[in-house]
Amino acid sequence: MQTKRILAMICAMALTAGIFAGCGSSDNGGGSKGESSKSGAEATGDTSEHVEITLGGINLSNSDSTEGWPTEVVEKLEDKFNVTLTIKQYDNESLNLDLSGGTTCDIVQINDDHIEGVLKGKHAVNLEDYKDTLAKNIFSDDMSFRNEVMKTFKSNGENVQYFVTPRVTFGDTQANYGTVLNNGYVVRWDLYKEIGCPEINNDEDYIAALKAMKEIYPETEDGLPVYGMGVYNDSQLHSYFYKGCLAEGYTNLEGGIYVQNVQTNELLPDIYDVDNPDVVTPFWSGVKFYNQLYREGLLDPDCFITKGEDLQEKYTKGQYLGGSVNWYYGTYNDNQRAADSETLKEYVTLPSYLGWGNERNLAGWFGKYFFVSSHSPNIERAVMILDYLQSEEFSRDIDSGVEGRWEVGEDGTPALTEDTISMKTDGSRLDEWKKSGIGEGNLSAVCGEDYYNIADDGGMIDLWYEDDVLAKSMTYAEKDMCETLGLTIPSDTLKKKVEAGTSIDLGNCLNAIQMGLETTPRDIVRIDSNCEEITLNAIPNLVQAETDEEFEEAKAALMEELKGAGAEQSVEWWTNAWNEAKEAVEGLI
Amino acid sequence: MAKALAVKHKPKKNYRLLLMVFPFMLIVLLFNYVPIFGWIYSVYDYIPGVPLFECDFLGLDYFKLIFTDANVLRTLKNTAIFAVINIVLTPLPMLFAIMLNEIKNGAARKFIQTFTTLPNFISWVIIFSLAFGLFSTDGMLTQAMVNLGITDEAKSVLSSKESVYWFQTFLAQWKTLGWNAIIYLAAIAGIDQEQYEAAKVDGAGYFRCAIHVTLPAMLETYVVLFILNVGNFLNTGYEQYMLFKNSVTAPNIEVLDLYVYRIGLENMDYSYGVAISIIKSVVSIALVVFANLVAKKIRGNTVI
Repeated sequence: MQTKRILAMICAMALTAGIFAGCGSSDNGGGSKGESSKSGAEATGDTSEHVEITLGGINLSNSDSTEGWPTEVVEKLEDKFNVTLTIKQYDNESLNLDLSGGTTCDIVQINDDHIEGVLKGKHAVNLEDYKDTLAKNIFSDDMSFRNEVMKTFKSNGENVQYFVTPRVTFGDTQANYGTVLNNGYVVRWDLYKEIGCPEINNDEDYIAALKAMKEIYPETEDGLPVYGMGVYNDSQLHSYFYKGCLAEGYTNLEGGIYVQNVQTNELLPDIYDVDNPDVVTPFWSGVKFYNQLYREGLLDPDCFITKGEDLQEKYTKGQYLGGSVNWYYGTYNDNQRAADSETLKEYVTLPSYLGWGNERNLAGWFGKYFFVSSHSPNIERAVMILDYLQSEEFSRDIDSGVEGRWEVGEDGTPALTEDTISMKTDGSRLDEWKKSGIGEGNLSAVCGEDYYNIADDGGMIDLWYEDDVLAKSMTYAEKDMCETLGLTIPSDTLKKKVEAGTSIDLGNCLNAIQMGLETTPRDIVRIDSNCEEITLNAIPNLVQAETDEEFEEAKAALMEELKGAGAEQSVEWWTNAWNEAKEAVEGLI
Repeated sequence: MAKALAVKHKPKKNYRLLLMVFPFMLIVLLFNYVPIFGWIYSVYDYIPGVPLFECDFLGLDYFKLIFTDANVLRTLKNTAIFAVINIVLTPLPMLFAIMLNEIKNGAARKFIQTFTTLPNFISWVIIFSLAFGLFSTDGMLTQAMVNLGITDEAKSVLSSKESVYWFQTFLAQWKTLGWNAIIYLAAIAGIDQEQYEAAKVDGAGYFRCAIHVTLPAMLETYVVLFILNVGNFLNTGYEQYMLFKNSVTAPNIEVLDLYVYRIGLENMDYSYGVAISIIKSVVSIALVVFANLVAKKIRGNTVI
């Protein structure tokens, strides 16, 4: 009896202790409490004590699961600043949780949705305190426009700088489209060649090419049905408006309900187009395109249920003939090359009206804002790291590798070594490639300078974009494409069209205007979200319309529903906000 | 003297029992009562990262918004349809348990029970992948139906607006039938075997034993579970519906829980999401009280 009592008591205590243990608070898992905080002007940059620095961000991947981590680039950074650097992946929920609890990482990357909370909650360190001591790269002259934009629009009216953006394009940067195009009219090169490489200047030409390819390749070697294209449904309306952006010459704001004309920088309501009857907006261009595909029997009948991974699987099985982005066909190309290094079975991308190149991010990439957390136990070191991430030295490292992977030649200009170039294409050296850290996904979206900026040594930040290197990184199919079409590199297809005036690029697009927009009020966010959902639900009727009349009826019904959901109120707010932001940002140039 | 000792010991024994139940009370307190503090978010315009009391106070604005939000009505309708179908189907696990009990081959019974219970442990993500493999246009079952001449053309049930209610219910029943039958199997195990013997003496076969002995013995359990189900009328969950939601099925598949998820976590409109949840809780409590009163009328005693 006594034993039972003791046992019961122990069980009760253990359960209670277990519950309390689960409720314990946790620290941010980041740095050790090594540095005392002092004012920025007194900051000495003392790195004698080893500390841990964590960089957390939306859409970053945990460094624990990054192959080759710590890479050569990271090891150099760690040695330089006597730190251990880790990356933490945030999603909206975990970031909001950390913000609410004041337990964010030392350096944090957020998007526009979190700006207000970070500023009002005083989670960010004022970087201007370190302007003359630890943050000289951030406040270099080349970054002055970006810094003005951050101070003016992302400081809650305080006119101080809390945030930096990555990949800032400097004023004198030249256009470069890379080796291959990433967005446009995707075709299977072997089939496209077989039908005689018909010129594709618009959606009609493209649909005709897809139809001709399907005639000669109705099913895969495994007997699976072949379709012209599919749709990715896990990115809301992106499939539709992005296709239209490429065809009509626009870039989208988040969600695609509004778009920016890349030549005039004017804002246009993308879906609720009643006030612009003469303009074909990207959304309607995209929906019409998919409707034409449907009517021609080229659209995957599962197009409303396929998600990104389903699309990739079908591309990998060779079930699609085309597309508009390069996100899903990489595995197919890799597999084909692995089976036959001289295969022509490979997807390549031909230019659409808008070539998604020569993007001039004068204020950096929008939607990615980095700050040093005021909760960091190592604020000084975090400022030093963020400043280094913004530097030319780090940008060159992440794009081209640490020095040694590239060398300064006798003419004084830097160039990638032959060994580095062969390492990229040699599958047996994959581990070495990962360890080099060149182009590593996380830090590639963190560094301060754009790929095409010219460094002090006269070379590009990303040496892979130098003319002599571009041609070396082509696959057999891409070389065949160049030979057949009379090109030097595949992206020359766009270059030629831009020069001829039949295509445009992003050279005139001032995407910094989007950073100048005031915070969207809650009621407008709610209206936009509802309009997006309503539109998403209307897509099946639009895409599956058998006739033009049916299509117009479905469109009219959608317009009516959007009007009822407050679309006009949203258009009015966005138009005013955009015009104010445009005027203010243009005034800063 | 002995009586005096017994009286003296009684409070000590009760205290020990209370101590044993303490951890469970703590669990309920922490996970069921402490979160109620979160209701306060519904009267503020909460911005993550900003201390709550520094956010704008909105009073009952979000509650008023609920009554003008057409999506609430639509999702409530969907929720009600799914809930009613599920309530109508509540006897299924009981009937399944009775049928299972009638299988006299022990190995076969155990196999069927295991086979039907296992799906309960498969996540909805896996079930969605399986369903995609089976019911997409190129899916095995869709193609089989075309090949067998059951349908003229391959049409995926996953992108059929009309099929949402019955197909989702079918999947949910497939997943949970075996698991839900366990409690009824336990109830059957508790039935006095003499009742069966007496029935057999009176000439009852398997069927009559099931109807006149097993079924009445399980009704008590059924009524309790039924009332709990009524209390959970609006708690349909969202995982299943979120995974199977697409632009075709969205108008019919979006239930209240999924709408709250979309509002609260996708749009980060936490305060409005909390306001909808509060209304949902109030309605759920009202339903439980109502069901309890009905039970008292019918059975003479309450369940809670």
